[in-house]
Amino acid sequence: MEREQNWSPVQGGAWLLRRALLGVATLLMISVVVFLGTQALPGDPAIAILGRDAAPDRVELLRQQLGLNVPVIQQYFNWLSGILHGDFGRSLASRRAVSGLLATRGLNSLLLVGLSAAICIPVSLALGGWSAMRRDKPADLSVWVLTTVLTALPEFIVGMVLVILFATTVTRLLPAVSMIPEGESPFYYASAFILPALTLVLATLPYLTRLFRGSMIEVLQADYVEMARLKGVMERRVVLRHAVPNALIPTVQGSALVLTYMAGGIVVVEYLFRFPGLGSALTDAIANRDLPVIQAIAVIQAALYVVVNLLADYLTIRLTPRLRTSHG
Amino acid sequence: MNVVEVDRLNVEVSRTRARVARDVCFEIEAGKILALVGESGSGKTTVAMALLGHTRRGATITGGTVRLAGADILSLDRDSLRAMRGRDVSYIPQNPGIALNPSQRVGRQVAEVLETHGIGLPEKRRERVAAALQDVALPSDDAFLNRYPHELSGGQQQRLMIAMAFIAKPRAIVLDEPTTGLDILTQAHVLSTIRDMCRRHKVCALYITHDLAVVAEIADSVMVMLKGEIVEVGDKDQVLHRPAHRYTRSLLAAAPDITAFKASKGSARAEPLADKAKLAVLSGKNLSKSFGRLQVLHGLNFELRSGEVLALVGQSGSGKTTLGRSLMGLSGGCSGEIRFKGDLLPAALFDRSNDQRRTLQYIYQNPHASMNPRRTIAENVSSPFQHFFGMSRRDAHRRSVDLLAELSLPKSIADAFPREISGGECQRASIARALACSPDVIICDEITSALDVSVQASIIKLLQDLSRERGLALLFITHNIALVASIADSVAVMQGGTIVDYGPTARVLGEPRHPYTIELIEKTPSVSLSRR
Repeated sequence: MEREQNWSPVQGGAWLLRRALLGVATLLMISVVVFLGTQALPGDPAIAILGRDAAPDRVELLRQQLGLNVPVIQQYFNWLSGILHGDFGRSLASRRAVSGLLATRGLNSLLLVGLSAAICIPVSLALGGWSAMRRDKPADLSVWVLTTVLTALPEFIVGMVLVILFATTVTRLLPAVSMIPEGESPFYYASAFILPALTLVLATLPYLTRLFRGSMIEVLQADYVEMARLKGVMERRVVLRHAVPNALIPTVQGSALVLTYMAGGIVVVEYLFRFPGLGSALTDAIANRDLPVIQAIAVIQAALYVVVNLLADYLTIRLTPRLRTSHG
Repeated sequence: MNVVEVDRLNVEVSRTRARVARDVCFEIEAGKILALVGESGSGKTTVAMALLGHTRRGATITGGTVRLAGADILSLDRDSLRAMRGRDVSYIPQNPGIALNPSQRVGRQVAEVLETHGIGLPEKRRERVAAALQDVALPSDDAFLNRYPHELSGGQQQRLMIAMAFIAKPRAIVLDEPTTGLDILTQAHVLSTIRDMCRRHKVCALYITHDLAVVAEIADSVMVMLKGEIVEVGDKDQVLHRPAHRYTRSLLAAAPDITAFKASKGSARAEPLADKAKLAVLSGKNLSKSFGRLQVLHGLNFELRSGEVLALVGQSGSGKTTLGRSLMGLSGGCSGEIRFKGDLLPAALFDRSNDQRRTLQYIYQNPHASMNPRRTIAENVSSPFQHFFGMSRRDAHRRSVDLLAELSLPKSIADAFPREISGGECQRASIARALACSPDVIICDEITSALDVSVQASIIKLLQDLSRERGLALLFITHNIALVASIADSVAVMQGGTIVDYGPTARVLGEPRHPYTIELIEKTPSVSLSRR
């Protein structure tokens, strides 16, 4: 019954490789779905984009641009091999290469999500842990009420309230619209990030706070925590060495969920603040029926999901000896 | 000299103000072991925890004093209390599997006691941990110290807890049913380790248990607790052999004893089975089972006649439960021949007919986990009536209420949810659910090991009556040999996936032939055979 081996780096590498290959397979499947959902739909995408009354020669031109005159299978592989070479085609609206267009936008969004997560995750852990240790006391109850209220508010409303408070009516400390001129480094426009990031943080904070509070409460009641106390271990150490490491395990998956949620949430938040990122690029592209841009963003989002989930699973295994040392 | 002195200790549940310990007084001398006996809910653990100045969430100590080596524990401030725990008085929990931090290496968890109390020089601690592990016969190399708790067997985990409890050389140790989850051989090893360690280090111990046979094995004196009160205290021999209180006598009467069969059961129960011509209800021939590359059952043969109780005993991991589940056709069944009244049964449950499924029933160790928690007891019990006999909901409900009454369960149970009733009541209800199918064979998998002794005795009585009156055949899986003596007609002893000894109970337990059977019997603690 006893398992003796620890997880050697070789086994760990093999696991990661296997999961990465599965991730690639998932992405390939997603690319098929994205392609089917946009370009290969029954009916003519060119007409769908230009409208029914479009002149036939314009339709024909667009069909050529989109490569619609070859069989569907070949269209897919042309598109896919383009992506693998970093070529997502040309934007129909701006006539620029999609990859170039999205590079700066993507960087902005990545910074926005990264910043939000870097605030949200530690704050939720601190707040959730603090709350769990004061279970059923006034402090805990107020955290509970606060997180319930925040959960009930859509991020659109949260964002607008923040604009009213900090950018328009009440004070004018921060810009209401996040202007980052194209081609300039976003690092010079730090103030443009504050309100969108705050909105994303407030939207995801309640979930993670409650998740960590719940798992801390469970862990603080565990026999091994009582045992540590009965060994005379200091309360501080009981919490930091015995409770937190075990309570973190479910929180890793929760954090992954928060990250992917944020990646989707930028669509609303970026629209609200006119933040020049992937989310607003997507809303613009949909308004302009800019097919190549829509496809590119959908694939990028999916890749992000796959990578974040892979990282979360890897971390969970690293944090859980039972998973790390078993063979099956 | 008394190391522990407890005087008029009172503990209440804060919310309801119900007393869980009432005017408890006792003392323990250095090097002595005092056993605290009582059933679940009697307040044993509450009293034990008070020795460490600890109460579980929701309880408060409302009066009395606890002195440890002269210090008044209950009046200590938080820091002095903390400094004392683990150093002067330590604790060994019931279930080491959940009392060890799953994400910390075992060596670190032992060393933590030394670090916490600043005992010894940091560079010498590694040696001291190694010495403590050698004391309890555990390996002490780095590879072992670097393991995680789940990489240790149950017995190793418990010996690790013992090492952890003794490493700071405490004056007193509190043990909370430390062998309940262990099989007999492991239990024997752990008990002798505890006894040796206490003697060698002159440590006094409060040993909580509900198993009187264990008391006979380990204690110097015994204290019996009932509903928060101490009803009897005295020397071990006096309490076990000349009990003064009615409750102590009833506990002793309920305790299964391995020597019991010699007196009555052995010869009396063997007779009806002399009828060899009777066809077997269930038989297995050359049964084998593998999980992946690991073979867990190696060509087993057995026969079970109607009205017969066949006990399947062995250590954990010997394949008892695997055999039971394979007979049911669970986890894909096994290879070999399973015959029911002479007809071949398909190996896998999915290939069996409804009637074949009905006739074999299974009762689990944990009654609460095997009942649908969202249905009342009557609803749980009535589903076989509807499923196998096509009864209407109403008729099925009426029948199940009747059946519950037949098993002497109170009327109110029918409409209760599983979590609202006790383990013993719930186990009776699961027996009712099995009976609702009108089976010919019931497989009972450790069905009493989670229950108190008196409840266990009543369940055993119920099963005996059922097998006699209805001609039910029982396959009784257990690691408790003492129990076998009081219920089984025949015994199959399993070791490493094979049956090493098989025959009538009187023969197997009375004149054991296989060395493993002999060892099992020798290591089984017994009230009437108290050694030492």
